[in-house]
Amino acid sequence: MTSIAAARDVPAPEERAHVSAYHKSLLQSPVFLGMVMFIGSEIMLFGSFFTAYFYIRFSHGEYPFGGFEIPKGTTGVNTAILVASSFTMHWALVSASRGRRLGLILGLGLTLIMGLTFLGLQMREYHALGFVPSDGAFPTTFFALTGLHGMHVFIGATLLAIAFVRACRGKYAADDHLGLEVTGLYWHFVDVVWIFLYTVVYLL
Amino acid sequence: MTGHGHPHGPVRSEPRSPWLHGSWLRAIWVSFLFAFIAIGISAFIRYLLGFPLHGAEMQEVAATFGLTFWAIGFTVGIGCFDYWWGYIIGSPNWVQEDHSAHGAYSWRDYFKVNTDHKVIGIQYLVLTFIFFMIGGALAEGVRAELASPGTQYFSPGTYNGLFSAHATLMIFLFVIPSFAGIANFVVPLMLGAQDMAFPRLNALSFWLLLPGGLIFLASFAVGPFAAGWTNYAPLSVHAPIGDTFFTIGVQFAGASSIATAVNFLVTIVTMRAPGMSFWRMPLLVWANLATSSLVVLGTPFIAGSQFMVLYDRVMHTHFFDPATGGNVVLYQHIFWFYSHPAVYIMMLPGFGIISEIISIHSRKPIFGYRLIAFSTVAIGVLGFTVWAHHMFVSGMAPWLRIPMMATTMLIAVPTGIKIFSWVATLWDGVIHLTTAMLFALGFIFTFVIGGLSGIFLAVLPVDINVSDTYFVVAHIHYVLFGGSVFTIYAGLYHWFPKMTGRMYDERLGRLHFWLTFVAFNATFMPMHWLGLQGMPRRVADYDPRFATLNFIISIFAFVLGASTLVFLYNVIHSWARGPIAPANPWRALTLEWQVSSPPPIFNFDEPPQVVGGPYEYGVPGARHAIVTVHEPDPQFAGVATATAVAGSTLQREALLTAMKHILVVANQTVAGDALIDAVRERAGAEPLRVTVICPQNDPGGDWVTDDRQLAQATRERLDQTLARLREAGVEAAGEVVDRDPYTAVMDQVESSDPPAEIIISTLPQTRSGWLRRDLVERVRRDAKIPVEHVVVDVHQEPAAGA
Repeated sequence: MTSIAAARDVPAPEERAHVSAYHKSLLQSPVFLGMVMFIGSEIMLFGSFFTAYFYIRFSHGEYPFGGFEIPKGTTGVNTAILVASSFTMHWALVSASRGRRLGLILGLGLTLIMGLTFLGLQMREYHALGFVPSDGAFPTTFFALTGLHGMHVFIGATLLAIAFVRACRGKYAADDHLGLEVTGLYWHFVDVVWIFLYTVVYLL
Repeated sequence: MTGHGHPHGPVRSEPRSPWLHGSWLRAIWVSFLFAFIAIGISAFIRYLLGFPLHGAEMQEVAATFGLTFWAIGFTVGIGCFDYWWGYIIGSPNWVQEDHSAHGAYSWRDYFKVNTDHKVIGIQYLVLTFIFFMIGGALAEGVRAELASPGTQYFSPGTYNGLFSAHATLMIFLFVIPSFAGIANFVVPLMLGAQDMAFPRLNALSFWLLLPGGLIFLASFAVGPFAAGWTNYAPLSVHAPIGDTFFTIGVQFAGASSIATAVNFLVTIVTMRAPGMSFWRMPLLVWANLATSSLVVLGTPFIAGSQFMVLYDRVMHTHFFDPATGGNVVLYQHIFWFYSHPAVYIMMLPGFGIISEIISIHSRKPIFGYRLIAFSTVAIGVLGFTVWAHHMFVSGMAPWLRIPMMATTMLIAVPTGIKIFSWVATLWDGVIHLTTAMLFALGFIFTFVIGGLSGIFLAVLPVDINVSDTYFVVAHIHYVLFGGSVFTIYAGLYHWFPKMTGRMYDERLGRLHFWLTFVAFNATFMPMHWLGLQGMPRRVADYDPRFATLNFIISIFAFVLGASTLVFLYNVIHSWARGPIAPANPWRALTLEWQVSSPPPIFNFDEPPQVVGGPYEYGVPGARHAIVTVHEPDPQFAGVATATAVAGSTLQREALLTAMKHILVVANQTVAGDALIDAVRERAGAEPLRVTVICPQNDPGGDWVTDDRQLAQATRERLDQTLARLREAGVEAAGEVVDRDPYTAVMDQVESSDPPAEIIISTLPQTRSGWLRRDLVERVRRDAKIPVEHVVVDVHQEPAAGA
């Protein structure tokens, strides 16, 4: 049907899934649904840390409380990189569903590079901040939230790396790339959380 | 991982080294390797940053990374990730539908990573029961210490460790995962699915639990965590290193819980058999739907709270340190935002189990099916709005008190709906007091007490008065032991035949119930009084005026502990030697009972077609599902074959008990055409099943007969009748009974499976001994159900009978 499918020898999904018919008809959705629910759980995990953040923030008058400074501008650049990576991820997904292998590999590669760049810049920011987690309540919540998010970027980048390797090996087809969809969904989630986090912690 | 070839999986013939492939051996070396590497890397980073490599701080860091990676290494080593690793590296041997680790072919498979939900369910139940025994032993330690005032056996610090570990093991490693175990076994079967949606994630969930539990227990080696299972900050932040074990162990138990919950949600949403709409799901499935939602949304909060404690301990952050801008009450808010919904996580699956058992064992449709389902969801939603009732004396914002009190009392409404629905189901039912039913009834009794003391505690002035007293201990045990544990026992007894293929011993079961029930109430009822008198909880010593009652409580606590041994003996003995269980010993309609006991490895040969609700007991003509079975299995012999047999495919309908039951009484006339026609005529109108009895013993007979010859002749006539009825598509069973006809009929009428109609077949008036003794009139008068009299003249029907 498409260039990717033709280029490899993996049989079409309906041939691979030699389980019963009703199981096959549902194979399309469970992984995606499972990821949606897992993301629901992740939102609650971020929720617990945001609860701590807001609870502590609103019991202080000033912000950032304790007289700390955080770099809005350079992190803004970093935010732009992460947001851009969501678009390249989308490009990769569209390429996959249209069977364009080059776009898929390029999109995934760019997304991965931008994700890792984000992590690197974030670490650089940690180093340049001039305060450490044990310096007070604001550094505590700041490092906890950005650190938790950084951990999720790391998980997302791992998923991207897996998808990248598999894409290079020609494991995805226009009608068979559920794993990519799930990775993309998670990456968008990580991105959206960061937009919220940046707005709340850095800007407001 | 079995070497047994079966059609679904690749056959592995060459032996594989246990050092390199998923096994306990690999689990051990990989787990310790991971731990040492993690400790080494963290030490190296500390060295680079110029921090000391000794002292308490290094110990905390080593414990954190060592334990975390030990547990991860364990799951890697045992083989949970082998399949995914093959996927990631694009291994040529990787097959998407790899069933090589599915199903237990020998007992050894229960000790390996297995993707079969039934195997995982049993793995869960056995492992959690072991933790239940350990947690129980810790509680007996507590009661031994409290048997008299003063300190006898344990130092106050060890005592704190005892009750902390007791609660932790019971909550995180017994109640929550054992419900997951029961649901794992039962829910996919009830849905008509072949397995869970994510079988490998399911296996990982189980294997995360074991290292989590071992981490809790390992804390005893370094001095147990002693800040209670609530692990309140700042106590926990400044506690010795054992507390780090708690914070890490909770993460693994929690991750296991979340993964299982996601799995259940996806399974319930996507894996239902054709026709299984949401309103045809058994209530246990509804309960697990609500519970899993609570776990997915709630458990991250306890993960968050324990991460924060861990950060405060290891990284010296200041979440809970007011001196540097943190907040102490914050911990309790985050902790209880999970841990109050957690009590519903520990109770809703139990409600589901009780709904199943009450309906099945009282042979009645469940009262208010939809309302029970709605109330389950309502409890789930309301459960997130009541957390601060644990914090009335914590110093939280005062305006939060009244709303929390109101929502807490509101949650009694959906709970009450359930209780009343169960009682209404029992009303006028044919109640079978099996052990499962006894535990269900005992549960209603104790849970109502626990629920009512819960309403006391919701009321602000009462709560402030009894906070941190034994009143709270009594309440929590009435809802968690009298509630959750009773339902777990009920579920274990109810599904024991399905899980093991063997029947348990009812007498030992009843003994277990009464020992548990009496000892439970005698242990925890007096605690209400102790609490009202002001005896504080979580203290190793107490005022001598409480001595007598505490001594009595301790005695009964030991009896309660001993009652578990009765259960254990019953399970082990019955599992090994019990009578073989039929497919459907309780004559239930739900799908798990329509397959063999234990079920086939892939559950259903074809997706069952669900056509009605799951609880239509005693409703004529109602049916739940049609189950197709390829190649008749001897185990299904005697089970309904109501629809036509097509090729080697049998369709069985889950309507066994719903079919109209007709009792046919006949002796010499048993194979008569008139009788067969009468039955056929009824069978054309509605599905029915027939029991034929041939009363043999005729006390009025005044001549001597050769009993054996007579019995043989009757047997032949009966078999001929049954064969003719089955030909006509009527499900028929029958026996020759050694009774006079009247007693034989009334035995059937008063049995647990009473007929809806009786057909009495006799010879014509002049030659019938039964009619001479007014059998038909006597039965009509006493049985109070329709009685039809069919006359068969055997002389005109030479073909019938011998």
